[in-house]
Amino acid sequence: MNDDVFAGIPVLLEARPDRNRSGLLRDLYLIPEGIVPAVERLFAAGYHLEDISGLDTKDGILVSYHFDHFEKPGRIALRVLSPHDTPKVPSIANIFDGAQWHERELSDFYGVVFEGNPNPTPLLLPATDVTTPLRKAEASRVSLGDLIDPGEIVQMDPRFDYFAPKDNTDAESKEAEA
Amino acid sequence: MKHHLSPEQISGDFYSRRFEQGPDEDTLILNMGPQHPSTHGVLRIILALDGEYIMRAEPVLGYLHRMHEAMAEHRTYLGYLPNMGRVDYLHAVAWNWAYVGAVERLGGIEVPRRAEYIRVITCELNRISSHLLWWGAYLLDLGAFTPIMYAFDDREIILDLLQSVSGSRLTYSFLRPGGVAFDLPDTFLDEVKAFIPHMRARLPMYKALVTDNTILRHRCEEVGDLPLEMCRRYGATGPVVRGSGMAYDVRRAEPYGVYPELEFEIPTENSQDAMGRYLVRMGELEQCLNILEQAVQAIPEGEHLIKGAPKPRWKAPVGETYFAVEGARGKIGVHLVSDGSSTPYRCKLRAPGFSNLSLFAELAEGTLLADAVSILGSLDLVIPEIDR
Amino acid sequence: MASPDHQVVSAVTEQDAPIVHLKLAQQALDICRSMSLWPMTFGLACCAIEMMAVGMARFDIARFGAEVFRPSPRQSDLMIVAGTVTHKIAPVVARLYEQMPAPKWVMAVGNCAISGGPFCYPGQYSVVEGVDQILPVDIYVPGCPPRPEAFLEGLFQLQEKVTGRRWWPEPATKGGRR
Repeated sequence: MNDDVFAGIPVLLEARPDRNRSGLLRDLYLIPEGIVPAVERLFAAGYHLEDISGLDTKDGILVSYHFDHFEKPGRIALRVLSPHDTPKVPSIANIFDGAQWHERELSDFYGVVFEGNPNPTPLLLPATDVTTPLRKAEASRVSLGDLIDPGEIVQMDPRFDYFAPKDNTDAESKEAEA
Repeated sequence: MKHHLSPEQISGDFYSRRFEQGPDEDTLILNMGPQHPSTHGVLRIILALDGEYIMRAEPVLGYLHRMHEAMAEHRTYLGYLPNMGRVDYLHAVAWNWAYVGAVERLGGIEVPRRAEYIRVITCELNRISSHLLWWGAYLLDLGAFTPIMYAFDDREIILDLLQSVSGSRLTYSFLRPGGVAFDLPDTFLDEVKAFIPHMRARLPMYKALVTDNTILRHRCEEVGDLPLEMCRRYGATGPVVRGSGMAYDVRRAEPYGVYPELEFEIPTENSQDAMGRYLVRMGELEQCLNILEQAVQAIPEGEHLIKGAPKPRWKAPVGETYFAVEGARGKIGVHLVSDGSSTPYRCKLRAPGFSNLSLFAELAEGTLLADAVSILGSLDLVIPEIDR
Repeated sequence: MASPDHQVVSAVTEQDAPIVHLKLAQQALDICRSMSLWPMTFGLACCAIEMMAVGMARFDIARFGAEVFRPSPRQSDLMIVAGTVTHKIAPVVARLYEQMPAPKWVMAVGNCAISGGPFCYPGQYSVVEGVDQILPVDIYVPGCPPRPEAFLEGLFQLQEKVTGRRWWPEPATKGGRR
């Protein structure tokens, strides 16, 4: 649990969720340009990539990267929120080779484009028939704040207000450089 | 007879044409699968061969994509449970556990102690049956027809046990959020206590007949050298990473159930090759028997399902969770997001085989084709969990 | 994500007539064939494990002649479709069927091969609802997965279909239907 592992990386929101309920030790929301440097830090710190998971919300497509450590267990989630129209995220496949397949799977299911993925071919769906089946109809989408409870917010960019506290008992939020 | 194949079907499909656009080599492009006796399901691997050596390999997936993650959004929480048995049918109880564990986390549902012990007993029995089938099928791929006969013989005893408690032979939907579906029959614990020494007596025979067999050793030793760094780059877990020297087991790293109260070792090998992964799984057979011995002694009386467990149209509280268990193939993860309705908003299934297979392309470069078969077997793949 | 309009390619099913067609000879040959059916190992999913179990010592399909599972369709005369047929593998299934020499039979094992099984839901996009959309099926063996005894009963009924009479005792269940 090296608190400095993300020092200097622009963070939209950092939270310490309820570990027993969420399974996460740390939860960070990043701008797309921040994902590659953050993942490089995790690679250098000995983490491995568990999976990359997509979530279609009213506020965009949330791409969640789950990392864990063989010797110091504690799951870290990195998240990037991408717009529905042109969801684009830089690829981390050049850092963790296993990400290539996870990213291709997300492209199949959500249509997210991972720029720099060495092999952007459909993975699970038939090559000629990619229909982004996990995208939801607009009426079924729910906003991020109604799905995820970030827990204790450590730092927050005020523009990233999807988790604006609904009551006054949340921890104080600090402004972060963006 | 008229030929109705299109020109594309004759000259190859999208995947082989794309594969051929790779480096220009004087090689033979060969499709291994999707119908192949040794790919353990519908896996297709396109190979560029120079004689018997693999220059490039690329797995093509999706031949068994059964839309599990999309189905989650169309089923209630309880109605989705049978899917878990089909994701990895060989260790169905572990996938059951990963899912009900995630639901329990979201819902704040407790599990009675007796149910926790029943879960451990059935999960470890299932793990033994999964490893036995892996073992028999691996030897079958390498050309030995006898071990699978013995493996299935032992496996049938386990299937009888699990059938007596759950009703199914293979695709169990036995766990429930809050416990298990049925309590143990009266004779079950005695039968398990009789099974443990029977299995223990078989293991030396397997060792003498197969593990120490010089043909197996030549087929497995120094085949598929997988350094730990490569495991980390691809996220490989389970016996694959334990065969490369890292004693990482989710039952100890993120403890769940009553595993903290049970003593067992984590078999680890340092050889990094197919033989190492083989020996890890054989060691796990012995450790499963250890766990079973302790569990059948320690199991308390009590409820098998918590009062007030979710009924069919139960609504999960809003939230998100990630729950991982140790399956026979590695770390099984379920990432569950709820919007407060009676169907999951999102259920992402993290399959260990997906990450384990992703390293095959790099691992198989430069190996003999026959060694590639041995490598695939040593990864213990079940394609439905990879394709989901 | 509406279900796309899939064109499922059916296999070519014309078969040439036998060169010599003497009824008594054909009857004798049919008995020999049915007692020595060579299945093709075409296990797609979970049902394949029960197919393996039926070939092993406890249930022993060898007693009834069908233990020679051939990986190659060219050497087999019974295609046991055990598992789910997806749109991606459907052309492969059709091609394998066409590669089998006549006379050939198809046994659809498991609910997926019969009708799509548990994977039918409104908006499903990947599963062919029954292998009989592609091939002519001779015997349907229901179950999810069917017990090995059900496999054997399917084999017996196929033998009855091939030869015109049943060779083995009826199952001793009350209300068992033929």
